[in-house]
Amino acid sequence: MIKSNSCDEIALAARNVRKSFGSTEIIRGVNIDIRQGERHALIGPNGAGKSTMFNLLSAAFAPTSGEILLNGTVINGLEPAEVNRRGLARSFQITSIFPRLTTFENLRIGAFARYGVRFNILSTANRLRKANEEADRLLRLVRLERVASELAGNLAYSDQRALELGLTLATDPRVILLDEPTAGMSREEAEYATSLIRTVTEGRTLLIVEHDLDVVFSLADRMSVLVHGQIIASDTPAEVKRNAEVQEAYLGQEAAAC
Amino acid sequence: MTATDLNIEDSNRTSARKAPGLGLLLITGVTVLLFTLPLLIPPVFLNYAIKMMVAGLFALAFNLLWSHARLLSFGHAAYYAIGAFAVIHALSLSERGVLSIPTPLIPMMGLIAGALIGLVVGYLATVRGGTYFAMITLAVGELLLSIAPKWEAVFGGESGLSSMRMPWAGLTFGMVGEVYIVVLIWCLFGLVLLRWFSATPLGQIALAIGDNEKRLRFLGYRTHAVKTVIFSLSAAVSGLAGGLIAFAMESASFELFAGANSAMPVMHTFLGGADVFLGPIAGGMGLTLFSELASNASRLWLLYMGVIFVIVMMFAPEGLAGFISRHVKLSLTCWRLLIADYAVFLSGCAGLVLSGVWMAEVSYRLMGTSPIVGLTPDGTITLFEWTFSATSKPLWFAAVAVFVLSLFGVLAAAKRARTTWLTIGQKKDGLR
Repeated sequence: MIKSNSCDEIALAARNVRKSFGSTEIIRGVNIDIRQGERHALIGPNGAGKSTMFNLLSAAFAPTSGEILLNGTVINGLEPAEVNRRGLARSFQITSIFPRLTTFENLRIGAFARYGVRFNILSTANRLRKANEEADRLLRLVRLERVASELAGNLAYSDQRALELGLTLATDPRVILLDEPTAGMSREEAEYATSLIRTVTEGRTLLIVEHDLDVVFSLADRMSVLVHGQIIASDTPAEVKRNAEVQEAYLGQEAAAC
Repeated sequence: MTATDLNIEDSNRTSARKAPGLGLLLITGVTVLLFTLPLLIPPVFLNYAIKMMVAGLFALAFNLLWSHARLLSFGHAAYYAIGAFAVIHALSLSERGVLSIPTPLIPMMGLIAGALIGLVVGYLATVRGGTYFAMITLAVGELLLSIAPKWEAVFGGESGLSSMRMPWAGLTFGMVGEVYIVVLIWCLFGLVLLRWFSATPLGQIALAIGDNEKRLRFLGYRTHAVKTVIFSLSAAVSGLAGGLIAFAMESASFELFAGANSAMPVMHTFLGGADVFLGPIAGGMGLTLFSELASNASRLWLLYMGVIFVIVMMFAPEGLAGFISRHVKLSLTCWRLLIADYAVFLSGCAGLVLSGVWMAEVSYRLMGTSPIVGLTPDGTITLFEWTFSATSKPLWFAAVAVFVLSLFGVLAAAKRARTTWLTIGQKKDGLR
């Protein structure tokens, strides 16, 4: 496990985090450092606690003990809205968009938050130039111009996933957490999504939870392996591949299945 | 950029894009008609018109919460009644010369009172969503209903309060025509206000709350605050509606708080169509007119209203406006194929209504529950100036036959029309 010397290089960190549901301890003392500007993947076999860890890092769950630090400040226990305002945004594994709004309007909702026009009832949404321009930019970024005025609920699945990504980016977060962004996609769709994620997270910090190891190895600068609620390795993909413990616990299992 | 004006009903959007002139013409025409109505119809119908417009506005205010944020309130009578009492108090203050606001502006007191109480109740109720929200609004409504008759200074006890509209700028407000115009202007104001709201950022955010509140929180929104503001706006316009009724009647009593007044906007909205902007207005105006006319014509009018509501909810859950607009949209391209089915369907409906009403009315008289409407000693009854024997076998046979035949006609026509649409839909898909 790589220790960092100064705190300000670390964008997001977990310190001795534990989480129990009832009498079952799912996360058993996790330490993770996600460095400023890196693409970090969290992998692990089914039931290892990846989703729980993801929810802890995005402050959706409060840890039973331990701390989650965003740029050096504790964020556990804060409201999701507050965490977002501090520069952390997350996506959802189950597509979580606004089906009665158009693609464009979905992205504009994010832009409203960014430009602080939440309670504006004095001008129509179409007149707010900055928010509309920002929504247009996001639309191009996630390559959804062709379905801009379709209701989001009617979009194809892969377009909805792209919109999910766009929404996550809409508040201009510095730290982005993506929960299985390619789940349920075909091979081509997953490759497309991976390239999209690479482009849009340029210059930002990314934590990605992913099942698809092809996606992980092509995207991540570093990765952490979670097994039975504990991190057993946290290193570059090449090093992690060589790690015997990891091979036994996770990769070997996958290889045997293949 | 193609995403334009937010519109819940997307058919409105396409039609507006196709012919903006037509829509404008229609709006102007209806507005002119509404303003000239006092010259066209007798005063008693103007009273109906006032009640209809207020019911429409009230339903629209209620539906702001449902159509956007998917919050279902069962206690909107509270804000309606508080608006009414605010206006009565303002009227009597102005009558005593304490307060000097122009009489036509007094309904605004209902708006303000509704907004304030809405802010308080909204803050409490919107902590929860779904069923819990509905239960909290219901409980607050019942609470106010139980307090109102006991608090005489504010709500006038069992007998309620009354006041007078003071003359202003040469207008006496003694004629129903003048009152009608004031009510009309305020209703249009409320309508424009709610329509405008839908197009603002907050209106869009309200829709997003109804879709996915959790996601909104993770985008940095404090959704409780947003819901409180929307609730307050809905209560404000409900207060305006109540205020307008008080303004027109020059009185208000605690009965305005009754649960029936909370049920009213819910029924109006769902019957008219919750997801079409004008649906609640159509439902409110239609049902109010129906209840005014039917309650004069028959003692069974509540039964008929209930049956209509059940049938609409079972077969057209999108409401009448939604049902009609969907049918018009579907049929515009292929009306020649469908016109026969529509004719059968509509005449079947007429047959069902005629035979059903006949059987209900005659059975009601045969039950003999009320001496006024019971049978004459010789077993004949008079319905709509037609005297016949209530137990006549041929008449009953005919009624049952018409009912059954109409039912079959309606079902068969609906089935055929559905098949036609499916075929056309498949052809279109094939072309694509």
